[in-house]
Amino acid sequence: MKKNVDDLGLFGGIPLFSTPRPIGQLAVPDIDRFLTFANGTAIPDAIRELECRLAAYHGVDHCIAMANAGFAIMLLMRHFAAGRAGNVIMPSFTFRGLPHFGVWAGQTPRFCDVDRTSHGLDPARVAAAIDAHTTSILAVCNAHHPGDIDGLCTVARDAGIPIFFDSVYALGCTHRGRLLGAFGQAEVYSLHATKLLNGFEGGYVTTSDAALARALRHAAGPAGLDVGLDPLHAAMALASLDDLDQVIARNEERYRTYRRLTADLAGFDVVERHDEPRERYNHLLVVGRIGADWPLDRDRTVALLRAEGANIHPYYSPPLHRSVHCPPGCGDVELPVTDHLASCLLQLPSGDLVSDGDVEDLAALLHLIAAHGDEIAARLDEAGR
Amino acid sequence: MSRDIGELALFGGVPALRAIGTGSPHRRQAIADGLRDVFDRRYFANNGPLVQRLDRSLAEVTGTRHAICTANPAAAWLILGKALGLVSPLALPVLGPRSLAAMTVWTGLTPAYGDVSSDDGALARLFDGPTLHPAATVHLLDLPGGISTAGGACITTDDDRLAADLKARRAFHPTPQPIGLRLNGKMSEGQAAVALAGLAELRSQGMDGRACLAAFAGALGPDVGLQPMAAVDRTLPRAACRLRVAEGHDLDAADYCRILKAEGLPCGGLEWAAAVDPHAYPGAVRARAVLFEVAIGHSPAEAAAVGAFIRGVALAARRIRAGLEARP
Repeated sequence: MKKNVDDLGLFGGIPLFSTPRPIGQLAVPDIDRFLTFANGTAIPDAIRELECRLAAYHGVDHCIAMANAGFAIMLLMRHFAAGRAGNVIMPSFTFRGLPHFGVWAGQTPRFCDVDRTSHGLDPARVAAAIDAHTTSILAVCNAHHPGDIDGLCTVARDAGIPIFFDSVYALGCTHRGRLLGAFGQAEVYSLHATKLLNGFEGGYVTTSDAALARALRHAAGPAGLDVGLDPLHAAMALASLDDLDQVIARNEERYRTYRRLTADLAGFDVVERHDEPRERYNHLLVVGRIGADWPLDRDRTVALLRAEGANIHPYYSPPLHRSVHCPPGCGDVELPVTDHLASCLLQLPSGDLVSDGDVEDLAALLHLIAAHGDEIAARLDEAGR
Repeated sequence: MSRDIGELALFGGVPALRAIGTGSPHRRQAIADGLRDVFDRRYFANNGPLVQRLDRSLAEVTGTRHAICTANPAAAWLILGKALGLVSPLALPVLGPRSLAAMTVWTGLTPAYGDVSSDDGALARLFDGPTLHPAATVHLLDLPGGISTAGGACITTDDDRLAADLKARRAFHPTPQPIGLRLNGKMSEGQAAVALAGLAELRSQGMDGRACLAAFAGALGPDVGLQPMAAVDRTLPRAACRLRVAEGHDLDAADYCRILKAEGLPCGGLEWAAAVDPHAYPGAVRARAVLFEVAIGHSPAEAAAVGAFIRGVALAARRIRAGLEARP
């Protein structure tokens, strides 16, 4: 237990964690069950079985498994563009790959501001951003809040623009009491190990649009880009699928521990889930928020925690419209809510490699920072950090 | 096969070569061990230790400075097209993976299909001049008898800068400088575990499967109307052999593929990469008729068995041709 400022890793103390505590789920299925599914690697039926089970889970007619969620998004954007070079409306406060996927699909990303609470696209801003060249809307459902799905779908329908959801972080979450998967024209999910359902890597699309499903299967098949999911990854995802409820339960416990142990901190809180009683959340991410009363800014807080072995990052910061890695031609926009969120949020360690004890240690560390904030700030100033 | 062509699986017999090319029990155990190792470390993706080891191993066995493994051939092709700054029209062989056309379009390029040599199926010489050296090579890793990676691919190059660019482009990890368009194209640790097990087995046969090739060629024998072709330098080791059908032989490459596939042997001919008018590509038409590849197993004994079987088919080619023509 760290008691004073000299104990902090950033000032030469022994780091709190000897091995890094990650921010991804990293759940491990029963390996024997996985090997049973895998049986070497010759298991073409694993893909079909996975697709059937996921379609049933989400309550949709079709699931199309792909090599990863990125290819799924690229194929959807290209399909909706139908040969036109236009723009795709998307948030800037999201995964850095999305604008790249748009460019691969021959589209220009058009960033739109988000809602302060859900961190998802703001329907009014989306309506204002649609123009004659808009080919689709890519909305993102976040782990703590799926966003204003109804509002976004209404805007899209009124404008006659296809909308699809990047629900990579929202597997197992509900909207209006219904599991995500059937909203918009399609939804995209990931099977990456850091996400809820571990397939090593992979992704899938859910839809009840038979024509869209057919087109995607062709585009992802051998006569198209040939980016279908491999049986090995399907087997891993199948082995993980039965554990989904337990993984979510463990996440919920971790989230509640974070909330309970940080409740008395001034200027720091854990972003709360959108807590409609009937809704369900996966708590894949635990996001901390730095307020005006916290003695350090967000980036200094991140640096302190990283020095303790918490492998954390600022949350979606810098936002994509301010990132040098963003494809050229789409960054010249004003997004005040996005800028604000990108300045004050950080991801906290989460997932199966983070124990309740780890959360208690992190909470104690945050209390130490709160109690000695001025001294820490002065020493960081002195060190020019 | 025996003298009775009715024993061929294509004519209703029992498949004789199902076990060939499926890997040894040792490899299956090695794959399981590799995957258990991944589970223990919980490092599943994102340029993990096994992918890094596979990158190094494939560079070593191909004799190139760098190998960059990717999730699939599309990822390899797309990032390579951007990294090289290719411009249209892009000359492509008219024979190749069917997905080649789509990959080219996704790279923003217009393909210009060229005829191939009927000698080796490669893009025919476009002009008289100095020999061209490839900037990079894309290897498909799941060919018959090849290193299975569960769908992966690999780019090899001697160009240090290109290699660094490609490694950055295959994922979205932070880099100090912007590098342009990227892709979610990284190989998983699961794929790398499978590939490393396969590579170890191929290496145990003498690095490039030469012992298997020698056993296969020896059992096939000369003058049967089929000529084994030598492996191309700087390619990945494969327990497979490309065969060329001689002029005037009674069976063509497609016949051999039908016969051998029915026996359970992984094999394949050359495919059209795009919907084209075959009359414009006489070299490709000829190459498709005479060239095919077969897996030859994972030991000299397996390779010899495959060679002997194909020899039997070749020697019975005239009777098989008659049998094929007599079928409804």
